[in-house]
Amino acid sequence: MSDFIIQRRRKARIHVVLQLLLLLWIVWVVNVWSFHQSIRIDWSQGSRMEVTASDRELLEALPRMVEVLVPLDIDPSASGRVRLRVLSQALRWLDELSQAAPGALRLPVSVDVNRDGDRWEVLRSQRGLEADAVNRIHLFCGERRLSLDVDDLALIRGTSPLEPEQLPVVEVDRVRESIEAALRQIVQDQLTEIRISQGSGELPLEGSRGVSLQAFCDDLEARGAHVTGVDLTLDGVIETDTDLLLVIGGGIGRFEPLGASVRRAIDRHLDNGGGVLVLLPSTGICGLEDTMAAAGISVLPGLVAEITALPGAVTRPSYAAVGTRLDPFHPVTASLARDRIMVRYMPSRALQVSEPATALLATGPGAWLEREPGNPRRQREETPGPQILAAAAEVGAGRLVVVGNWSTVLPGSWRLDARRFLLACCDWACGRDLLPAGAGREPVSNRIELDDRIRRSFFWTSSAVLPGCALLGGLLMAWARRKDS
Amino acid sequence: MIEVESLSMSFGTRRALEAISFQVPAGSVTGFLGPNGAGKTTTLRVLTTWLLPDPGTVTLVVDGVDLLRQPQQACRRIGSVPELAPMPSELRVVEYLQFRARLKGISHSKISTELQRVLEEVDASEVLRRRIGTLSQGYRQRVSLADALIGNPPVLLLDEPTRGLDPRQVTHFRQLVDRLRGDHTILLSSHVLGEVEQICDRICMISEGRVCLEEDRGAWTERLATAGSIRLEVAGVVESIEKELATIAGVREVMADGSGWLIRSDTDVRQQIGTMARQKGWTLLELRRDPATLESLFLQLTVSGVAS
Amino acid sequence: MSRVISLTRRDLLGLFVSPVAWVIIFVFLLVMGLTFHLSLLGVDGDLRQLVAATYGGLVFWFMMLVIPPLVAMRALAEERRLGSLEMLMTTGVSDAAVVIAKWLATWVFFLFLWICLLPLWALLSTVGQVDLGALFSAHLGVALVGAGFCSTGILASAVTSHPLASAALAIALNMGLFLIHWLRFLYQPGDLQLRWIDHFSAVHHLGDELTRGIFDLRIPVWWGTFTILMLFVTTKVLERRRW
Repeated sequence: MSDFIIQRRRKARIHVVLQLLLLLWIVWVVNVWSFHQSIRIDWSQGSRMEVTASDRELLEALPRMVEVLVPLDIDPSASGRVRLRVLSQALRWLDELSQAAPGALRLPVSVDVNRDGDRWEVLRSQRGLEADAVNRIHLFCGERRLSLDVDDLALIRGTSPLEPEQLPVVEVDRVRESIEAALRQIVQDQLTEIRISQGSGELPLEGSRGVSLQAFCDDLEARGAHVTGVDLTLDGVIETDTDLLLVIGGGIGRFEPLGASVRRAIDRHLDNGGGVLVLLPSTGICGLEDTMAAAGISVLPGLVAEITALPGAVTRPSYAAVGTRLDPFHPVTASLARDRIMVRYMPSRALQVSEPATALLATGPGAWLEREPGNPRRQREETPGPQILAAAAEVGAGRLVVVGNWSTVLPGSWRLDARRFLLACCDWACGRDLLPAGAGREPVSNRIELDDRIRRSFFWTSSAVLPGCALLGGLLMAWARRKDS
Repeated sequence: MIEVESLSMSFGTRRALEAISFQVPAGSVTGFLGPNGAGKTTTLRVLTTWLLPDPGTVTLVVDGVDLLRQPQQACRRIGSVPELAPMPSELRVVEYLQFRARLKGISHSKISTELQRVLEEVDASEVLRRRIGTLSQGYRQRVSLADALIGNPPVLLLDEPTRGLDPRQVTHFRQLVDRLRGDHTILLSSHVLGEVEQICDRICMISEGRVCLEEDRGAWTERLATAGSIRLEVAGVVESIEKELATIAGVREVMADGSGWLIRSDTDVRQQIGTMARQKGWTLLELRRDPATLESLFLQLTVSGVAS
Repeated sequence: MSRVISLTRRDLLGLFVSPVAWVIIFVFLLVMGLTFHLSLLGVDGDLRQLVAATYGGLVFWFMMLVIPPLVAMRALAEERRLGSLEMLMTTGVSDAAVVIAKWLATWVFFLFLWICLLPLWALLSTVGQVDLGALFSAHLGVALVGAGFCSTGILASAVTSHPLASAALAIALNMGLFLIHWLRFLYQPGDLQLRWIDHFSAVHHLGDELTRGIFDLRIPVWWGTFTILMLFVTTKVLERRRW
């Protein structure tokens, strides 16, 4: 019997140790397995974080590993916070994708440039990014780089002079769509070749950003294009691999209209299926009037004028043309037409459009065409009504887009809807999607108005009614227990 | 019935029970006596399977079930009432007993009849819906006993069951034990010797972890009879009366006791003392026999050691 | 199994008839109710963010860390002190059944507290559309993480002999679990170790995933295995007296 007790004790001790080790091992194995093989479901309204089958297909089809870097420069202002939220959402979505396919997409790396300045410097030089490439999603695949701006990820309706109290709010959420497009884009081997005409008084491509097209070119390159300048006045030859030729009718000093040989080269380029985007000079001709006329687009003399609203409920006529009307069917504007768009051109030429061209962008009815130089004044003889600011046409195998303003590409103006519109034009004109400017959906927002009534009723319910019920319950319980005892 | 052989129990370095052995015959009421700290409660706790005894323990059998090898089966055969049984004061008696019945495996449909039965048995039906915290000590003991009786276990272990009870409650308890005798085997531990004398068929005396005495009623009654003393008081002063008394055959010890003497002897020597008194011309004031009590036996044994 | 139910019922009854429990319920509803109200004001009525704001933040985590120990502290420690554990075990019920029942009673009471807050969400749903998916998954998170915190409470209660010591130990264990999240600062964003830390981090599970409606199987796997481990160790601690 004594043996029995000793035996039992010994057995019990050994068993406990063995059982504990076994259980620890099981816990370890199960957790490691679930770490690698997890199932994730998005139950929230809208399920924006759900990785669908098509997302997985896209990830599996990526031929090479894609890496992501997001430098954040946190801006505490209202619009900065909204932008940061959009970036955070994009980071989370990339995180989800990375979890679904860790071999195809590496975990996104984000760095706070203010807090981790050193690390940002190291990463920046490693990747060859500019110092102001912050608050963007940079995707890297091999040698290729693609950058997504917040404006690509979401349409944010910000403050306007008419409504300074309004907080910026996300109107269209494009995070998933733009990341998908970027992933598709970055793994393609061929870059879009964009050539910008030089030698006629245009701004140079490089240089200090105030007086060059550097910002514009960087943006295009960030979107997966290769941008070079071509001096058409020298060669008169446009390389055959050019997808898009940009003619910017303005710069330092006066723009020299393009000569006939250049025009012929451009015509050949169009015949070969290339694209041309012409940004008209504010005065004078650009030299391509014949080509444009053959496509149904003619430039009217004068500048578009409108009554402009200024802060302080003052209005006065100015040369600021605001394009608000878009063609709902044309590929350039179809997806933009859903949104309330306001493309500001200061100033803009007006176009006359006939078959086979299509008017893309027009002003509201209050605009007119001011033919006399000097301050604009509304006069009856001047052409009233919506003025056409941009038009597009298919010429032969190629595509032509004409826009009435060239100063959009200046660093100070290259933003908001004007940028979006011009990028959409570029996309269509070169025949390859750089990034679709449309798509996306309204963010699911369940915001309720917190008026006084709701505030009060919530306050009283949460601080008095519910705890009061608990108090009552306790008293009832105490009374029930005292009964019969 | 309960069979214990060579039960040892230590707590760390302290040896609480030193190879004790005893038996509790089926249907009897056995009193487990000892001073505080002797090991009574420890023994009972081993029998309820709460404590595991030391190696070297030979036998622990309760109602035919080996406690060491089949503790869970043994548990079901035992109903125990610990000292000052801790019961949750916020529950009602019915709620607590229902819970205990469910734990002991009474099927749901039979619970209310079982509760009625046990409460009637202990005569506490009137407190069914009272909160345990409001019960007097007497009722608490009864409820505790009712709990032990749930499931009708053949063996009952009661630890100091009359602690804190007033004389009427004690009488009541005694009557209850009488009723239970025969159907149940009862081991009750106490240091209140008067009660044990009245209730128990058998006693087992334990001191400092060792059994000093284990006897049936008949045997100890006889032992008490012989362990008694004779008290003698004579008028006046008689010199060397102790020496003279010591010469009587069978006298073991003569002790002064206030105004007289206590004489311990193997047999009843009053006649011899009377004869001597007449011979010596002593005036007898008192000559009486004090039978021993369990208490004196207890004091004797637990101070001096194991009884012969 | 039925014994576990009986034990759990008895413990729950004991909990709910004690005034301490109602004090806890009252204080909980008052504090969390006010937190809810302040969160609603803080997100400016945006119901999508409200779930993450209410089931996150300092007050929420304080409740999560502190309430299970307070509810569990008397579970085993007090019973052992009073001797009623002995009365329980000598009916032949197994150690595992006792441990599971104590844990279950603690966990059910804990969940009851959070369910009592649901009327606030019901009220909210009359004026706006509450994200039910996110609300459900947030409560799932509270249940899972709560199961883990309750199990540490039971373990602490078995190991110590005084309820206050048990509460202190349990709170310390819960804090340890909670602070795992802050090991992130040892690593740079993008490191694989961060993924491992996220696997064990309660803050990540609730704050980044469940309160936003994302359910990941890793979460119940981790908290489930952790709870089982704790309850197993507790059972062995209880069994020690037999050897």
